[in-house]
Amino acid sequence: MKARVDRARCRGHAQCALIAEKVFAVGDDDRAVVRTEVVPPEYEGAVEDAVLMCPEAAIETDAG
Amino acid sequence: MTTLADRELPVIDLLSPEYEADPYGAFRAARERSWLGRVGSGYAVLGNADARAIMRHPDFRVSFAYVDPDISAYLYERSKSGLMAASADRHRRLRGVAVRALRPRVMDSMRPPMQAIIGGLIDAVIDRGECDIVRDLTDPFPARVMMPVLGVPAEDVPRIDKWATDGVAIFDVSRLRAQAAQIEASGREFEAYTRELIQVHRADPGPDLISELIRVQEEGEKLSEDELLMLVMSLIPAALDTTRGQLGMTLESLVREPRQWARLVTDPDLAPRAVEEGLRYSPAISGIMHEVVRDTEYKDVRFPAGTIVGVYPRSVNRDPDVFTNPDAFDLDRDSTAHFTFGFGPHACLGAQLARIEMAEVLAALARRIESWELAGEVTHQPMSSNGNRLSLPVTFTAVRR
Repeated sequence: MKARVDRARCRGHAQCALIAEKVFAVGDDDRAVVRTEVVPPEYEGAVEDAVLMCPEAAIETDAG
Repeated sequence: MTTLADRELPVIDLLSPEYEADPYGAFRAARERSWLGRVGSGYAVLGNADARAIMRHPDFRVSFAYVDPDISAYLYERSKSGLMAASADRHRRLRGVAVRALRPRVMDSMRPPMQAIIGGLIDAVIDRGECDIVRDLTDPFPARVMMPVLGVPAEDVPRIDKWATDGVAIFDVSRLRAQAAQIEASGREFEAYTRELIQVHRADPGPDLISELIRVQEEGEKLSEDELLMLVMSLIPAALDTTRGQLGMTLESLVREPRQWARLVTDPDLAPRAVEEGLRYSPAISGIMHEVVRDTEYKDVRFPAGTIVGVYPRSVNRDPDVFTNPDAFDLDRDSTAHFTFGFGPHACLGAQLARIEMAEVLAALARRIESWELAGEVTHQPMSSNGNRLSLPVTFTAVRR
């Protein structure tokens, strides 16, 4: 699984960084950044939770 | 470090005629003195950066703690069981269930029916050259879009309308106190209706959201009967009342700003910008209430546990530290730092859908209506409440086709 943040949509609610801290962080500009684009399998569940919890629907994932 | 009692804070009287006439001015005067003000229920965060910090702060939690059991034991119990009051794990699970039905792809597939619905509403008034924007356009639109999506029969809309209007009084402590008996009775009726609606969908599921939630429940997700009930009872008024309220506010702002409307007519693709600026400039949300969950400190102030602290979009959306010339409706600005959809874990889960609905309405109107003018008195709910427009009479000139 790969994860991406649409930084134009992100407003820095920081929910992704709380739910999947190994994959997402809040950057210096107060918006989310992906720490590891290829998601380790053990964090895939957390990333799916982050997709669902993102208030701006700014996280995208794809297989691979 | 000072305690709240030591401080002289500006007071904003949300029930005063001055506030009712100009809430933005009342907040501006207070904000020029302090980032924190006093209101009837507790304290008001007035500055934009402070709103962001408080809404991310673990010791400030979105809460209905201002709903006392002495107002209504029933409403008190219900306010504690809702999505907004759920603890972190439970909230994440319940919210995830609801959001599943609101993925971006699903929402995009809703654009064509939205366009057909707003097209039909415009067709009905376009030859008259006058209409009431609220009665003819913004009130019917979200109901017609969302009721089939939710799985609510169209003929039930008038009843649900009343329940939704009464239901959002939970956000408005002064109205809650004044009309507790009526709001409680309305809440009980709505609950009985929702229980029955769930039974109907369980027996005969369809492609709608309520059936989807029942499927999720039956597929073994930990969703109790009460949680299912609570989710459906949260989603129905959220889908109806907030969207129509905001649409009415945004359109009033655009009717009062003919130059901005003219730009939208020239380029209807500006509709998403107009939606965002409308959310910032004229929010249909009064306050987002928080409870201090343990004694805590923020900036130089000590907040005791139990203190109620509201974030007021009509103040923080117009903070000049974040928005240049904040009292102007400006399609060119970056409006996104508003708090009309809340912020953090409890930020509006229907925000994207609401944005799409509103953008489709504004774009459709910009293609059909060249200009408009107010043609009578604008009436609205009290500004201490959400301030939803109740009538917005206009005359207009149609685009020649």
